[in-house]
Amino acid sequence: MELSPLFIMLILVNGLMGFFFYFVMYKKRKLFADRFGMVMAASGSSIFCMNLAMLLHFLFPFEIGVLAILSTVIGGGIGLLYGALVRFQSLLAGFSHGSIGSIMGTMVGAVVENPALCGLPAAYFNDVENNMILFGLFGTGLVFATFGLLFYSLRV
Amino acid sequence: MGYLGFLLYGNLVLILLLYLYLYKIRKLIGFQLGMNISMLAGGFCAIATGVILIYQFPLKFVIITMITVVIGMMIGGLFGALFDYQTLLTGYINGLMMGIMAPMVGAAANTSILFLFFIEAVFLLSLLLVFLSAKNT
Repeated sequence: MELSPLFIMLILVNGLMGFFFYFVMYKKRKLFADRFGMVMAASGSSIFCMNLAMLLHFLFPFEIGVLAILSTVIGGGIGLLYGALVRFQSLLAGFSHGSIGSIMGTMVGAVVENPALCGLPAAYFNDVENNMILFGLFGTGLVFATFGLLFYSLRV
Repeated sequence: MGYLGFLLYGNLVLILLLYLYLYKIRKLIGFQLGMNISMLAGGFCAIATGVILIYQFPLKFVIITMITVVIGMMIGGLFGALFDYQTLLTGYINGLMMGIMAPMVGAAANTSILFLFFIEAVFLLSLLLVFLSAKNT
């Protein structure tokens, strides 16, 4: 079964969602307090970078070192972008949570793809592709739920 | 290994008692302490739940990860919802991250009993610290 079109589509959906989030927050950035900026940068960038790194690892499963460096750089950049909307305090929070999220996402992707890393039983090797699809959809659902909560926080 | 469900049940009862206590005095707690309380409670409850569940059902990794993430999200969100909307967001995201991590740690520990006792001790210590810091505020 060929899986890469599904993951490319999920990465595109996630990227569009992240771009839309940045656009909305950029228009509303004068309203933020310090604390809301910090919470927004931390929660948005951590789950978004985790899902993005996981999907990238599913898409290119070969060179894990190069891929980890690449996704960490991408995650740190996204965290810096989200944090730079408000103030330097939120910039630090966004950078740290973005890089931690992408390192963790690479770890989740590696474990799902090769279950022997965690000492899981050998029965998992039969349905690795099934687990990859489930984890990708679940991560996308988590990203949508988090961004929904963050959009809802603009009107509370 | 057949009695781990009672341990999970005891953890949930302890969390519920702490929630009721904090609900009674929630007007006295400021938002800094509220943020830290929601992070600590959601994160450690997610770790304990994930490790116990993956010890109990080692063949269902995916569904246990999803259940643990939902439990961590809900407990972090509930403890954060006592105070503010931003503490809700902080507790939610921290419980989510810890819930993704926890079944992996439990699976890598290879069903060692010592690790389970250590996790339970850390969980009880964190609950005690939350209780003391909320009492003395």
